[in-house]
Amino acid sequence: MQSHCAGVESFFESLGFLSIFFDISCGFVILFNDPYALMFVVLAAFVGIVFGALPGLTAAAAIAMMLPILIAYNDEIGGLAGLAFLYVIGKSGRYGGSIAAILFNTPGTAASAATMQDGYPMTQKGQAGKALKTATVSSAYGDYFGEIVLIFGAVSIAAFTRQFGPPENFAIYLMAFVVIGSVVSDSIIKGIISTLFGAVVGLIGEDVITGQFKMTMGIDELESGMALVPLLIGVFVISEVIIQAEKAAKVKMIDLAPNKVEDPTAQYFTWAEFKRCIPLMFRSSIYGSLIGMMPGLGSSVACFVAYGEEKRKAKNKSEWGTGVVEGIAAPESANNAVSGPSMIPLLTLGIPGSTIAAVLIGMFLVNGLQPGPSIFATEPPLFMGGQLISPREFIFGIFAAGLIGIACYAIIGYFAAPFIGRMIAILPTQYLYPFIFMTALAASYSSRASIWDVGFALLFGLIGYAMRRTNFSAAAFIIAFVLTSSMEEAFRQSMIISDQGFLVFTSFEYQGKFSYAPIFLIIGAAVVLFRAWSTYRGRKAHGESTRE
Amino acid sequence: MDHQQYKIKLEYGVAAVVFLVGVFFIIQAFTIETSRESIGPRTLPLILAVSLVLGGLWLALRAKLGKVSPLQEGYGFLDSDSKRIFLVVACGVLFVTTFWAFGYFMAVIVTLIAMLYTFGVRNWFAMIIGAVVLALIFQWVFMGVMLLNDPKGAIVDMRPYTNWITGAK
Repeated sequence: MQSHCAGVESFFESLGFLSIFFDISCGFVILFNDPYALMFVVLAAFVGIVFGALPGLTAAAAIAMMLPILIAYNDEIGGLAGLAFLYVIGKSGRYGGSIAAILFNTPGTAASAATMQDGYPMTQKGQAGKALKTATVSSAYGDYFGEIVLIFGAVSIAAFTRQFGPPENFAIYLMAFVVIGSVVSDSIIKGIISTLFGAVVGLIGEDVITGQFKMTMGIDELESGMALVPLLIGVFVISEVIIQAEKAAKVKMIDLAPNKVEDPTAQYFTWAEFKRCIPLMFRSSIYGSLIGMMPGLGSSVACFVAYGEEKRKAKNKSEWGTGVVEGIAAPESANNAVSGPSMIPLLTLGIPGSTIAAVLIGMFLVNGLQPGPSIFATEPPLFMGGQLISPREFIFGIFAAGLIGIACYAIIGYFAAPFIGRMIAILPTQYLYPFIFMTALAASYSSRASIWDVGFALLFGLIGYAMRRTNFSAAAFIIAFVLTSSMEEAFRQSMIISDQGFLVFTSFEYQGKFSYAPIFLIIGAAVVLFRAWSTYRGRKAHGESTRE
Repeated sequence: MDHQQYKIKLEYGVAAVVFLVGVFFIIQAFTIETSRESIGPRTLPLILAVSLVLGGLWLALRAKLGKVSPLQEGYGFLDSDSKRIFLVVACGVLFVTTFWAFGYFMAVIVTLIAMLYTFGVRNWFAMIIGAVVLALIFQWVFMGVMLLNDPKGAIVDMRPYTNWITGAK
């Protein structure tokens, strides 16, 4: 069956930049012709909200447990359904975190930590409904903003990055490692060590050039490398179960009984409040989008930047922290605006900007697509969900899924967030976490039907727990793990085809054309130096204020 | 021992672990067979492992100079409950062992009961019924629908009793 978009392409291609509108409408056609994909988008919206709202569990944890099932059923449900599911779950998971932040004073995810500051006081004032609706509307606003930035940004940047060769690719990977390592953790050195550790673990297994086995420690199961699923499950799920076992305490939900609400309009995010928040949500979405484009910086940074900036600008700054809608709208717009642009490094450079983007690489590869600028190519066609489509159409199908997914979680959240919160509050954690633990072990086994993978998940659960306790970054570890083999391939290819040795990475000329490799290395070094300088200044200021 | 002293000691421990991990991977990198070419399969693992060793040394140096930030809440293992950590890991090991000895179905039942006990559940009826129901569901989903390998237990082969769940013959 041929693509539904064939035939009218040439007309829209003549419109240049405007052809993106054709591409996105094509994406909607592909999505609506794939009933599994549509079903999985709705499912992801719901599952993401629930996992995001469960304190301690994140969208990454949900993805880790569901990834083996999605991969196993990839051929049956079609590649678009699986990828759309993972993509939307990342969005709805970010939003779901706000439910726990507002109702339980516990951020469901790190991204919603700033939302607690005004969300929980509103709940205490009997305005939980208004707080949840504000979070829903501003999250959807931010997410749509970010998605538009992604769609237009990724296509434009990919047209430029498509010309890069191995030296530039290696320089980009190295820059990403250094940048992610230095910005992702409170400590630059610990962030970089997390990246190095992930990278060296990622090199276990078959060599990308010679095919020989490396660092397998005599374990046959490691000949094909360490699998991503047990690693994800260990670092994100089992480490969390250990923490919850330590706590072994229940979170208490604030009573949302109607008799506590004195003001009848208190449960609505009114039109006047929405209009008042539009400029603030717009600015916060810009902060979120810019932060999202930088690999390693995520929603948790964006929400605090937006909250801090908007509080500084606000006329009623003394009221912030006591329960004002602006204090929810700013961080929620920003943290959800991160979602779309965090895919830009992945789709234009092949570098995942977040853990979820790192996992998406695996699903892209399962479907025969190499993330990077070539993903926007129109050839060769792929057969998916009974349709013959180009990689470009496939990607726009995912963008369309994202746009639909936002609407789905917004609708579910707007009407059902208090109910979901109430259900989570009564869930007995002493039953929930053992169930999650068992699901995690089962998912680890199912990734390659190997009991070794269960052992690796346990090992990395302990390592993940220790990393959390000592400020190392699990996200940097996973991203580096996923990227390393591509980095090594680019490195070795560069060295094979170059007659300048390591200088190929510092030379502005490569095979008779301009090379951007040195520019990327300079950017990487500049980011680390800037981070080190700002940390030094911060420490100095802290020391001086302590002395005073 | 005050909190700052604890943090310095902890940083020494962290530095030692990072250093040892680096040394371990250096040893592993030297097990990679390499050709005469200067850049081969051993190069990048060795660079990364040496960088880890240097990272460990850097952390140790910072701890020696006392350049550690103030102890934040949740940092370190002061408030860790080592008994519960051990119990969770033991449950995982129990799963692996029971899987090897008796197969997947029994492993799910035994481990879930142990985990529920770890989390403080003492209602034995609920624990056993819950574990059996979950084992039935998992057996059906993973072995019956996803068609994963269901290896026989090394001590007791339970598959003749569970094949009706998966539809296997």
